[in-house]
Amino acid sequence: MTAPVVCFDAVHRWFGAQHVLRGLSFRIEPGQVYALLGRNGAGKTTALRILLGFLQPLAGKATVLGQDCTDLQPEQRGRIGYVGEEHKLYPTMTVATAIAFEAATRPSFRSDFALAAAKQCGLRSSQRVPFLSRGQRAQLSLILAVASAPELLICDDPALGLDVVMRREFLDVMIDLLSDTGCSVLFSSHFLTDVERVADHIGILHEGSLLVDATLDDLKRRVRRCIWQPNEGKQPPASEHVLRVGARRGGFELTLLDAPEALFQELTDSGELSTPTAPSLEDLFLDLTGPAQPGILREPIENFLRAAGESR
Amino acid sequence: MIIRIDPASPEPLFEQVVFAVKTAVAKGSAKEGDKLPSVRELARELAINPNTVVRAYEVLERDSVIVRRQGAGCFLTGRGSDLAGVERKRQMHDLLRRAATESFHLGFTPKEIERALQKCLDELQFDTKRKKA
Amino acid sequence: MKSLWLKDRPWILTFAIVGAIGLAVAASQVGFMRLFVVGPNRLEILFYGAGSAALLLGAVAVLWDDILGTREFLMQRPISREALIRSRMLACFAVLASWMITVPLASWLHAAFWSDIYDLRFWAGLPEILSTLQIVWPMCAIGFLAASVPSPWWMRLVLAALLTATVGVAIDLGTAKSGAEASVAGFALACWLPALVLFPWAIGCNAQHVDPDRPWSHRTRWMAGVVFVVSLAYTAGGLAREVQKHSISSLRWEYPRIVKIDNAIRLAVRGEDWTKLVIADENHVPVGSVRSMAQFERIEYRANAMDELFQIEAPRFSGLGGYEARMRGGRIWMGRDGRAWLHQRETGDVRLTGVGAELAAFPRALRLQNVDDVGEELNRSVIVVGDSESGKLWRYDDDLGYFVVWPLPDGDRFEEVYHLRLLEWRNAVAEAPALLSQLLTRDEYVSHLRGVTGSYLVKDGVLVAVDVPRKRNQQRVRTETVTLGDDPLVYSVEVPAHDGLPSFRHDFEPRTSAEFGYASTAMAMAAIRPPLTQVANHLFTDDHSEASIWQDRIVCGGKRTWLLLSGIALSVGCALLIRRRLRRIGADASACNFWVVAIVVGGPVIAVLPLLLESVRNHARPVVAAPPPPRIVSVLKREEILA
Repeated sequence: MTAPVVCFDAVHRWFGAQHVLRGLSFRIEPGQVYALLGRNGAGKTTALRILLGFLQPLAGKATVLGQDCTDLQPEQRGRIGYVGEEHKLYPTMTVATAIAFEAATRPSFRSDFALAAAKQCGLRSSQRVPFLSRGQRAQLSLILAVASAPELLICDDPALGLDVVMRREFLDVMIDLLSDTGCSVLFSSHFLTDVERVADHIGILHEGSLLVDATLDDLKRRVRRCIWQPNEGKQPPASEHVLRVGARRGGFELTLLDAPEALFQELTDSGELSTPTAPSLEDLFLDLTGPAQPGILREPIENFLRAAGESR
Repeated sequence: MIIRIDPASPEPLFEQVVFAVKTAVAKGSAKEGDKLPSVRELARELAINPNTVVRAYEVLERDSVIVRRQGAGCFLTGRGSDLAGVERKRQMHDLLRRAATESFHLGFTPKEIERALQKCLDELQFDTKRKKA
Repeated sequence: MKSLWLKDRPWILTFAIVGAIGLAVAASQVGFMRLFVVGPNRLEILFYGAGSAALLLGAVAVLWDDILGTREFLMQRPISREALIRSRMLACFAVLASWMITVPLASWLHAAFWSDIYDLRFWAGLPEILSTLQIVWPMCAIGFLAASVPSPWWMRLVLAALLTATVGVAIDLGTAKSGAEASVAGFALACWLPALVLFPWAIGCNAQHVDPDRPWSHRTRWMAGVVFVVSLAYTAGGLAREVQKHSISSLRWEYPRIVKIDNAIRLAVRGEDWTKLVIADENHVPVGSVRSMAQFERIEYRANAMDELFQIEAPRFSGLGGYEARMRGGRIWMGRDGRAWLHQRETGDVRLTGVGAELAAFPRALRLQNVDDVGEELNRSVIVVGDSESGKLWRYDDDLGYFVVWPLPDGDRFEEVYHLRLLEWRNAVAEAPALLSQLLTRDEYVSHLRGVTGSYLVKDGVLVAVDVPRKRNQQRVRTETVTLGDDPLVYSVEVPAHDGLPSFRHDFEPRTSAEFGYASTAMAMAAIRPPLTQVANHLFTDDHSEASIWQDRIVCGGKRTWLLLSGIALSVGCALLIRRRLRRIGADASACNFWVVAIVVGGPVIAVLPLLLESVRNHARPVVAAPPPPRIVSVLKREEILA
């Protein structure tokens, strides 16, 4: 059995009174593409920064490539590629110097690959970093991270602020890397359609620990959503298979996990049940992490519209 | 051979790839000996994880729909699935029953459904001889 | 190493170029000679300017990636922390070396080969040219270390200030130890030694970076904590010593004088101003009426070695007081080697001058002094150099541009240049009204030359003998007094019987509230100074030992053991309080022990540090409960993971 590439074991981290990670545990096997999802401030960036040794876990332990994250040696760092949230590059450099700097500081860096890839993306080597667009900076960051053929690529919300075309190009670079090297990837993202394309494994981080730690296929196979309009006075059954009950016009919206036939039968007997469908990742994400009461913004917006109508 | 997928669909991506290949074979738009795109090509084309493509190809290989030749790539065998008889039958039964249920609710009579099925079969023009072989 | 300089290039080049430009501008403004060469009067601005720039350089070198926000982009590389620090440090050295090499060396070469204004003593002059700039090494090290310490930014600023004070005094002391006059080598060594300690120390401090939610690691506490403790103990100890010194002298000023009035020896305290005294009783309480100073026949008591309050006055490296004289259009300096230099203000030229046309050096460094010319022309003076050992006198000749021997009349030997107030002149030369009329047009003081036998005024460039009494005209009774006791606060003074008066003795000790105030301040300072040095003081030094920054005259030589013990008790009490607090906020034993030892050794002032450096947040441990298991988990099957 191969050792996991990344292993979080009950990691806690707080910033003052704010307890950001509350016992985060998960592992990434070699070759896996792991998407870490979560709402803003859920602790994704904190988890990734702990992994890279920029932050210390305050309880628990995180290891990467078999080494404790608090004590990463150059040997392990050389095998990890990292694309930060803001795609930070040295503002004083040009594209060519950035590549040269990377080549000089990373033994396994392939300059020819990086230069070719940069050219392919339309980056001129004399372009200065501060004058690159956000998308170009993101591309260059990814190229720099990928060109050293890392065993583990860590991307912190790489698609943030990129347009659709850029995001697709970004995916292409990542797919090429995956096909070429079969490396493991850990990334966080808010673009769930992208996640559905490339991720094998989904971790949904909520309030400091994982709500979901499953393969994407598993999610699609095991989670079902249906609308149930019960007969008079019936309440949804309390079952471990019911993940969430949402109120809906005249009934309930149920999200079910591994629902047995008997449960469907029970629901059909006590009311009207729509055909169960597999929710998209976005729906599932909303169901699990969204506010318990749907439509928190609806009332204020309606009030606003009404006021606007009256004034007219 | 056209392979199209929908990432937002409830079906797992690799199953969609498997289905697309099988459909192509069933439709006859791909023939025995045709070469499938490489994992890398297909992954880029569909913008999906290459692991998914690899997995789909493995399923296809297990079902004997394709054969992998070392260094050359994957080729269609032209055959259908090699699943055991009972399982094959059960899967077909499920699919047909679902089609029949839906059709019934659309207000068709059994006769009309039967005719429609026959029409589908005619359209697909299965090479029945090859299937028997 | 070089690859890392790729990212550091902006600051390396900026500092190297701006530094070189700054030196070049300074050299062009005040002249290369004045800036680098003429030792005693080198401009202090170079000393402080270069030091501050070096401090900034060290800080920028460490914080560059934080300034750009690229710290994490850099840290994720397969480069060890040590290699990073080494590269920064070497970059600093390169910049500092470039400062040494560019302007000073280029100017030196230029002056040596293309200018004939003075001989540069060639190789011998080089160390001196480079010496002033040596201050950049320790200052750069301070910036580097302070920026490396894992603590909030304002604590780093405080540390930089503490270290600057500590290292500044250490350099002064180191230079002082190297001789009565600062030698180039002594100064350079005093600069390099702190740098040699602080730079490697910075490597140790840099091992961690700031995390407000974690306490310092054991190692960091030992590296960074010790720097904080030592620099604070040093600075606070020095400040306490200054306050103590001031309190002692204030107390002694407050004590009554022993005076002779109405044919009796009495005590008198100061009146409302300097010129008034009031007779006081044994308890220093005024009893008589206010009397003017003139009514007293004062007895000056001298407490042996008492008034000589210990002074640490390091020889100033960059200037020797009194070895300079102003003249029209420029100045003249005397170097340590007895060579005199002439600086023309207008041209900025510095050239060698000396005795006679051959510009010979003086026998040693002698004071240059202006002596007033009381002739017809107003505000004239001559620059003279006198050697009281040999009795020789030289005068600077403006027209010739060098010094000429100026013999005193009648073969008299030169003794000193003396300044008398006009008032005193009035009494002294009452019989020569013509002379006085000229003197009256002058400033309050008029200087004249004194030989062994006579006194001489300069009049129209000629020495004129005048009859000036050698003593000030105010008559005083000087009586030998005896001071009993070896203590600066409590002692007795005895005036032996004389002139038919009985002997008089008074025990000086604090009796009034003001005196108690000063004495208790001085003792409080003794109590808060570092116990370690106080104990050493108490056991191994006495009042007449060589003064040092650690010497404490109140407890030295086994005096006031109770004060020493209460000082130690104060430290121990503070340490215990701090330990209780640390325990309460959840610090581990190693943290507690470190600070207890630090406070017991370094004094109660050190207790401020754990309050600032070990916050509640550092040690907070929120409840770490196991989270609920994920709602959806897939158990991975091996075969599903494809390589």
